[in-house]
Order: sequence, then structure tokens, then C-alpha cells
Amino acid sequence: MTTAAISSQLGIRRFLGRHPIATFMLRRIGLGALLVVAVSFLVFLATNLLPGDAARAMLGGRGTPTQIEAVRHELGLDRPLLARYGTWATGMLHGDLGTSLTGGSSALTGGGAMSGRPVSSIIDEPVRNTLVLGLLTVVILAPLSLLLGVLAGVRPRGLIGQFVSVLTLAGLSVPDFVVATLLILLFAVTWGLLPPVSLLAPGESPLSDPAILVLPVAALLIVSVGFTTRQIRAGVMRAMESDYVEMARLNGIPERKVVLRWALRNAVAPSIQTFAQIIQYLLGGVVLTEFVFGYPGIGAGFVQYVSARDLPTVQAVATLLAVVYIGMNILADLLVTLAIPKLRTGQ
Amino acid sequence: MTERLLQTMSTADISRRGLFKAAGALGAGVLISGALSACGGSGSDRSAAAEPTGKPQRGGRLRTGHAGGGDVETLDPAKSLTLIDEARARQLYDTLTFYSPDMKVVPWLAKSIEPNADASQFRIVLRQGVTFHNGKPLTADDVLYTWRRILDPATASGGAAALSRVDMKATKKVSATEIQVVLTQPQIDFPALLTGREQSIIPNGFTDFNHPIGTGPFVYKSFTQGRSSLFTRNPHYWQDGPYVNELEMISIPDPVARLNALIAGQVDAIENLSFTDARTHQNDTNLRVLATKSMTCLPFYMQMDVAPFNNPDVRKALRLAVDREATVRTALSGFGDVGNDLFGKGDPFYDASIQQRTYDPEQAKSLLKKAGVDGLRVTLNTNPGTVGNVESCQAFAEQAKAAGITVDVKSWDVGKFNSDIYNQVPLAQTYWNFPPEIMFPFALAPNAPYNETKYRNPQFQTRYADSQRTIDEAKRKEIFGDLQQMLWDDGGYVIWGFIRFTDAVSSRVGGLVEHPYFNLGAFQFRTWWLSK
Repeated sequence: MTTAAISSQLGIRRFLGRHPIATFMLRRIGLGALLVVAVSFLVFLATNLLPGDAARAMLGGRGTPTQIEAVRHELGLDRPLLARYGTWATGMLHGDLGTSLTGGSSALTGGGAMSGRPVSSIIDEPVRNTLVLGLLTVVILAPLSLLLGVLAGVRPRGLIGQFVSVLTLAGLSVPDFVVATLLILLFAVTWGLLPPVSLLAPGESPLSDPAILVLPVAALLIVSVGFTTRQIRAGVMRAMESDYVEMARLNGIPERKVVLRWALRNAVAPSIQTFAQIIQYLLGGVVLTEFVFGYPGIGAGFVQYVSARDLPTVQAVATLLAVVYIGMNILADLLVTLAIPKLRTGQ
Repeated sequence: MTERLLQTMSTADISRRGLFKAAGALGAGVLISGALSACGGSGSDRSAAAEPTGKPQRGGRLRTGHAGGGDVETLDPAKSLTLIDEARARQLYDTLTFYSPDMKVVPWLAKSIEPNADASQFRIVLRQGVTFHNGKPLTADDVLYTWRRILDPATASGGAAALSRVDMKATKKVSATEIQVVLTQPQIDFPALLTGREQSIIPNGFTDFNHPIGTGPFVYKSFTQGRSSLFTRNPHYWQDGPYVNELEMISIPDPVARLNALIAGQVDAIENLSFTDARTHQNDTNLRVLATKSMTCLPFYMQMDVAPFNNPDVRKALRLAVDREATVRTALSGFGDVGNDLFGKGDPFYDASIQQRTYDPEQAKSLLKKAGVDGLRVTLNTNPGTVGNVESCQAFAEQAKAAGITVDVKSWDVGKFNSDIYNQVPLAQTYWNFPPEIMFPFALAPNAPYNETKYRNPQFQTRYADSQRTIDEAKRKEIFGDLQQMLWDDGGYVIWGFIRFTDAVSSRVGGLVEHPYFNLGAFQFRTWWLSK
């Protein structure tokens, strides 16, 4: 090795030694990237192993053998698996999410060229719609569960504590589609206050017609608030029972200050992880809720792509979801590390 | 609920796709939807909504709710697969012929289609004054281009079967509006085959189905696959109507959500209510629930070239082992009519004089004994893609026990069923909605593209060929009667019943004419109007 190389290597090591967080981040991102690759390959494998192939699904089961062969060739389904994965993966790295098999069905017109719609144009709206739904839910969920969780955690046996306990358990126990259906039954069908189906004209943003968001967001809130509140409550309770809080009280520090300075801060770490999980759940496309409301999101959309055996779209969406999940995890870990000094020096 | 999710998409005229299974969802969904429906305001002392009367009022936007086909929806009629594709094709395009509500083939874009003496050639005269949405007049070139495109293997169109006897080399245009069609074999039913949506006439040279142009009652404005389409009224349409200014067709796969949308007034009409919902809302004053007789059936096919179904006694035994009334009652909740192992009940050519087969497990047992197959065990393959499929198979399995037949019902994921099971196993459930004169060339005659039962009866073939040369309708009806008798005697289908279309429209909708061909009056939205 040359002197320059050695010194640059040492320089990097010194930098990393002084910046454990940077090391941590680089390691996690590196691992995350590997994970995304692995997931994308598994998804590719899985979709190609689905029973029934895209050609027959598209021809509705009544295609003649010649028709089916023609379609399979058009779609490149007769190429070997690894070759197809290679082409697709390279495309993804360039930001090309691929071409849908069924979008526009012009993939089957004479000429041999695949001219279906780009996957990005198919999923952009559903993704946006699910993001709106998810983020709106989180924006309400975070302060709500923080408030309830802290109140319940500080005084678990008080009125609020009991109330929160029961309510959140109920919200956790009832499946999301049941909650959704009950909300529709009450608010839309019986009382006629809100639309039962989230009908949205294509191209329209859900924010332009907020009435259609109310019930789906409510459904998701009811389902999620139980989980987040209980986690925060547990964190706060643990903090309130800890030695240092006892110490602070004994030193005469007012209760309010105790709560704000110690209990809350120590509830932050579990909260971050909890919220990361909930965001993953919400952004992953809450399929059943979207379905029951007819909400045009990526969850319900994904089910349709799978049913239609639209492999490129399925693969693109699954990979994007993997990126989101893994990204959220890395972000959450980073935030937790920043919030808890103990962890910063431990690495 | 999952089952009803799956019902939305099925093959052929409705493409079937499976969705994930959530058994809990099904159970809870059924309970909740029952509660939902019960709160919909039904009561036996109230009568259902009356249809608006008087002259059709013009204007407004008609919004219809459909199950949709998700990613597979298309505006290219040659490639259409799902029920919503059928619905949309009828708005944007026209076919040369169509079916009247009493299932007679009537001239549509073709003013006349006259056969020669032995029906080996036809003279098509196109209607005058018909224009496409871009103003271009309809000519023979458009028809010939449409047919060439359908027959082109690269198009992979499901409509190619209907044109299989057209000799495209010999077929020529005689004038701008006349075509002399030459067939490779006589086929008097050729005009009937031109009614299918795949046969919709498109402009000569047209390829851009993202901006479709047709002659139909509505003009394309916008379309998002799996979501909705918006069409506007064609002011130059060659027939009466449309009366509404705009037509919005929306895909709502979940049948419960679809019904809710109708109840809340988000849509004005929906197709395919679940049977439970249809029953619950029969007396709802805000809606009209229809139970239209149709030719849609869910038959079991038996492959006649393999054991045990190569033995006519075994086939007959299976047909005697199904309790048709009970199956219609349980599988279709009574929204159906009993079948007699013949296609197209209600069609003018259906032979209603053939004795109705009934449930006779004793005779079935003795036939099996005679065939030397005591204790027959068969696997009946089906899929949950259509409501009534799995239920009818299970009902049959129960009923067949009395005849000593053990039926193992196997329900497959729709995708797998279509690619690996359908037409490849000896006993499975299929789906048809065609009248007899279309079923003969499609499924029963020699070289039929969908010969599920592998029917090869030389006598049938000769008689069918005779029928296709017979111009006189009464004589042809007689021959069709003979053919149906043959199928009744020893064919390979168990056609236990016909489904009724359970659709619903709001009380504002007038002008709907029920039709046995497809839901919602065969989607003839051009006759509909909205009362204020």
C-alpha cells in the first residue's frame, strides 16, 4: 500500500472513531441496502412462483395455447428467471420502476414492443393517497397518544388511567375492518353524516374532499391509538417508578417538573420505536381499511396488482415498501440513539 | 366478505382473480354486513321504490357502481375481459348486431345482414348517417379493419372465435357501405356471433385505445384503470338517447361498499348485489332491487373422453344426482331458475319442450351399478371467483351422497384455477351466459374453441351443419330442438340452474329496460334518465 493510501485509511478510521454515530449510520445503511436487495430478490422469486401465470390471468383462462404463448413471449416470461431479475434490478437502480404488464394492455399490440404504462404512473396516486391517509393519522395519533399515555402513566390507577386502559384494550382487540365497518354503519348509513365510500375522482387529491378522510382516519386512529398509548404509558410508568425519579421527589422537586424532565424524556425511546412501527403499518397500506372504504390507496391497489399477476408493479411496490420499512427502522434507531446518551457511547 | 370480493372478477366475460383469503374477515364481514343491511331501513309494510314515470328528463350525470376489473380494465374492446369492460364497450362503441330484450338478434350498426341461399355468404349493408366520435362516417373499411385486427394473433383477442369461419381473403367490400362476407362453411348464426362486445367496430387504422373513438352513445372523456371513467353524451348518436349528459362508471370492488355508495347517493345504480343484500333491500323505498332472469349459469363440465365420464350412464347418473331446486335455493338464495342441462334458458331457440330432469338418486344408483361403477368417487374442481360457485358444488356433494357418489369439492385460487385446472381436469365448474346458438359453435360443434366436455358426436355434427344451412327460422328451431335433445340425452354438462342478475338502482333512475344478456339492462345506459 502507498503512503497516501495508508494515511487516507488511517484518516477514515480516525474519523469514524471520533464519530460513532456516523459509523453506526453507515453500518446500518449498508446493511439496510443489502437487506433491500435480498428482499427484492425474494419478492421477485415469490411473484414468479405464484400459481397461474400473468399471460393466462390476462386472457381470463380462455386463451388458446397459441394466444397464451404469444402473450408470454411478449411479456418476456419465457426468459430465465435470473436474466429477468437482472434486467429489472438494473432498471430499479436507475429509478425506472418498470413497465406494467396490464396497464393500457398495449403490451399486446402488434409490433412486439412492450408499451404498457410505466409502473410509476400507476402507483403514484395510490401511494400519495395512502401517504395522505397515513400521515394525517400519525399527526393526530402522536400528540393524542402522548397525552393519553403520559396522563395514564403518571397516574395509572386514577380515573384517566383506568379509562385509557380499557379503551385502548378495546381498540387493540377489534380488527381494523370491523372498526371500519362499524364506523360506516353508524356515521354513514344510520346517521348519514359522512360518505360511506371514499370516492375520489382520479387525479383528485383526497385533501380536496376532506369528508372522505374522516372515517378512514378515525378507523385507523381507533386501531392504532391502543398500541401507541399503552407503549408510552408503560414507558412513563417505568420511568416514574425508577430510582432517579424517587431521588428527585425526595429532593423536593415539584411533581410537574419531575414528570416533564424525567418521565417524559425516558418515555421518548420506546415512543420512537412505537411510532416507527405504526408508521410502517400505516404506510404499508392498510389494505382492509382501504378496501372497506373503497379508498384508492396502495394497499388495496397492491391486492389488485397481485390478482392480475402484474409482476412488475407488484415487485416495484414490494421493494418500495421494503425500502420504507427498513428506512424507518434505521431512522428510529438513530433517533433513539440520539435520545439516549447511554447508547451513544456504548457502540 | 372475501367471497364477495372474489365474485367481482371472473373469467371470460367477467375475468376471475383471487384475492387473499381472510376467513375471519368473511365471518365478521357477513355479520356486519347483515347488521348494515338491516339498518338500511327495510320494512315489510313499505313497498319498494316506484319507477319514475312520464317522459324522460334530460340532463345530469349518471353514476354507476361496478365491481371493476382493477388492473385489467381496458377500453380496447378486442381485449376486453371483465364485466366492466363489457359495460364500457357498450357506451363507446357499437356492434353490427345486438340482442333485443327478448333475445332476438336485431340490426344495430348493420342495417341488414342477408344470407345467400345456403348461408355461406352474407351481404352486410351498413346503416347510413352513422359517424364516429371524431366526425368520420362509418364505412365498410372500418368493419374490415376491425375484423382483421380481431383475427390477428398478435392482438390475442377473445373475439377471434366468433369470426373463425370468415374467409378474410374472399370477403370484400362492395361499396362504401356494403360488404360481401364469404364464410369457409355455412353459418346462418353468423349475425348472432357479431353481437359480442369484442366485435365492436373501431375506425379504420385506429390503435390509440388511451383515447378511444367509436360510434357509441357516449364519448370518451377520461379513464383511470381500476378507478373510474367519465364519458359524455354523444349528441349525434344514431339512435334515441342518451338522456343524461355525463356517465361516470366507478369501480368499487367490495360489494358492501358498493351498496353503501348507492344507499348514500354516491352512485345511482350498482351491479351484482350479494344475494343477502338483495333480499334485505327488496322493500327499501329508496332503491329498486332487480332480479332479472338471465342465461348465466355455473355448469359442471365432464370430460367425455376419459373415464369414468366416457360412459353415458355415469354422465346421466351425475345429472340425476343433483337436486336443482335445492341448489338454486341454497347456492343462489333463490335468485335463480332451475336448469335442465341445456344452455340459454329463455332464449327463443331454447327447447322448453324437453322433459325437465329431476333429482332421482335411486335411478342414478342403478345406472352406476349397470355401468359397473359402484361407489363412484369424483373430484369437482371449482373456484370462489363467482358467487354461487362453491356453494353449488357443496350442495351437489351433499345431494350426490344419496346416489352413492362421493364428490370431493376442491376450491382453487382463481389464478391457479384458470391456468392449471380449468379445461385440464375431468370434472370442474365453468361459467357461461350465451344462448344455445352461440354455445353450439363455441363449445359443442367440431373445432369448437371451448369444447370443455370434449363432445364429439358425429350425429350432432351433421345436424349442426344442417342447421347452419337452414335459412328458415322455424325449421332451424326444429333442428336446434334435435340438437338439444341429443345434448340432454348424453351430453357432458350438468346445468343445474340459471342466475338472476341482482342489481339495484336509486329511485331517481328511469328508463331501465331489463335484459337477460347482461346486468343493468345489458348496460344500455343510453335509455336511462334521472328524475329531478
